Amino acid sequence: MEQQDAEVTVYIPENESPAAHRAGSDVADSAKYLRFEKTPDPGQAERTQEEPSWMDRMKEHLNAKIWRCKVWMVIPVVLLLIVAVIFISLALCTWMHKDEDENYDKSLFIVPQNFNGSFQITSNHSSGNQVLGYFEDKLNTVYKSSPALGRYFIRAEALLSSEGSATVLYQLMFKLPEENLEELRNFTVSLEVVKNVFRQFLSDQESGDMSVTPTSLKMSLMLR
Amino acid sequence: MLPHRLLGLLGLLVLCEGQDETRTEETCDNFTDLDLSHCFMGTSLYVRLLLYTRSNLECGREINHHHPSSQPLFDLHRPTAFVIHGYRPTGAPPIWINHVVHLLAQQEDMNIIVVDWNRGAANFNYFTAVSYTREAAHNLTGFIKTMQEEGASLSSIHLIGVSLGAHLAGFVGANLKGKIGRITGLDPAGPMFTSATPEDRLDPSDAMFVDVLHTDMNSFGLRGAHGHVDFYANGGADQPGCPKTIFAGKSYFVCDHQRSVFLFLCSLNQTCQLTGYPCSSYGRFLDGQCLQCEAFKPASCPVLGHNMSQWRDALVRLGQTKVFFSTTSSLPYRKLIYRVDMVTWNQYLRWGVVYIRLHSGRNSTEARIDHRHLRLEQYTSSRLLAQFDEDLQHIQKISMRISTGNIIGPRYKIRLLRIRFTPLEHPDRPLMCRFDLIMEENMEVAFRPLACDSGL
Repeated sequence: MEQQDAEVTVYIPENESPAAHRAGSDVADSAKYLRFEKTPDPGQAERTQEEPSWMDRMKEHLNAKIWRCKVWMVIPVVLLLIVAVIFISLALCTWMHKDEDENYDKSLFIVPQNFNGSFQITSNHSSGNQVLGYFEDKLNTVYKSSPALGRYFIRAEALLSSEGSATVLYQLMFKLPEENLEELRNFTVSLEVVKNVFRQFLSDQESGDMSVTPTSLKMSLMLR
Repeated sequence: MLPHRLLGLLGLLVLCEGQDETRTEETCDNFTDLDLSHCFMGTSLYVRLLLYTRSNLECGREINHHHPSSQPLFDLHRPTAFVIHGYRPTGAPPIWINHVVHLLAQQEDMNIIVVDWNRGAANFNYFTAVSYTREAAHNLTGFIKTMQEEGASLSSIHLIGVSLGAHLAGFVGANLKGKIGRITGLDPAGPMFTSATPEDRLDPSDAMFVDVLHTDMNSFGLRGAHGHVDFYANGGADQPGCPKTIFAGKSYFVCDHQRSVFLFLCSLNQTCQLTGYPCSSYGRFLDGQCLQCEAFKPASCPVLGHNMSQWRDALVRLGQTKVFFSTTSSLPYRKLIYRVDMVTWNQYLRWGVVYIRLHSGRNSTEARIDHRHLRLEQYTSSRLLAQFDEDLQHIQKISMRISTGNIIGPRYKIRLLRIRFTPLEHPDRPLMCRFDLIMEENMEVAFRPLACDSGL
């Protein structure tokens, strides 16, 4: 029965109740929790007649003090901390997330890809230059604001046909990167997409605003 | 005065007599109506043949098995359709008998013979009913042989069998060495036939052309393919609108199985044109991988119904073809199908479930393509099959949502170069396109469709 471990002292809190004093082994248990080595009390058998219940022992553990707080206070703090870490990292992830598709270097766009075509206008605009300015602006807005084409778009130019003022000729200039050039030419900056982006813009306008005859729209790829 | 009155009285008498005569002539032979007590006691086989033609649609006439031509309404030079019912656990007449007679009469001027073997089919013991099918088939075979002897042609005979009746029709066909013109099997019965050899069930060799409709393969129907063409409604098993739990009572048991008859009736009525697409499985059909109908050109893909002449030769040549279609839960059952093709320019692969809603004025209809996640890969066309419950014309707006299942974390964007909607069963309607579309995952985006530019 007799065991000696002289180097370790039992930690007994100051406000310990007399009952706890009697249950010496429990105090020793909680002391072990606080990283003390257990010292079996030689007089244990005499001092305690009955074993304290599991609940009582748990209460003792939870009421033990670390610095100025009790152990039970530490548990919710740790839980809160875990939740906070999750949310902060999620928020950081969202904030730090870079949309790879929005990430491009315009200085690498060097290969020209141009389109030209024509369309007819219905209403009589006051003067030729005003008409051209108006349609040049429209074309520039349409293609600059296009999510797929905007980054490759350089500018649009419009000029009046010599045949008559009812036909507007235009030219669209794009520059593509050398990387994935074939795919870009076949899919993104293809005649199909470039032409239909304009057709779609015309069809979305309520009639009267643009005064362009949608069916008259012609476009082709300019070969150098 | 007196002779006058006498004459009047005599005339009245004659008139009354005349009326009496017409009444006796009009006694109808109706479908045998039995009740539960008969089923409980068990019935032994007795086959009645009830004739309906355009001139006696409401009033059946029983035909003598041995002297068919003794019935003046029975014209052996006209085509003849036999309607054969299945197992009758309650003994009551099938609710669809009148409908099917009326609708068949609308198709063409023909003899419609309802094969009433209710005495025999009405038994609590299903196995008894099954054992009577052979005998009933033997009986019917004898009748058809007599018809043939009296001048009818086997190729103009069409047997329409429901459930157990489909196998009965198959047996008749086999007895006549497959020379019958056509057998239509409506959800051939499964129990006791699952491991049957082709001789013991309906199979393509039973007639010159066998078409089968499956609606309840996972309980009362039979799995597999049994005709030259097998139509699988909604994959051939569970039907939309049918109860999923036993709490719904009787309809839990019969709804899926009975749907085959209702779909067939609807197809006769011309109210629902149900086109079946040849495919190896329903899953592949739903993925939009089986929308080709080249094998039947210049016809479309096979349409369920009475008139299969456009596809008959091609289907017989092909041997056995499985065709699939989806239906709604109620009349007119038909779904509006669009093939949707889209190309994305997203650098990274994205997966998502697609919801598409078509708007026309105040009406809208939605398709949820949620049986699997759609794969969206850069510069690769992704195809899906969008099936709408309502047939809307003149689509003014389309709204669309791609659900990726991501709830937390950054919102990804899905960037489409082009999306195209092809109405499959309406070649007259325009293809709808939209270009350069950008949408956030789980967020709806609405746009006005553009007529696709065919000039490119």
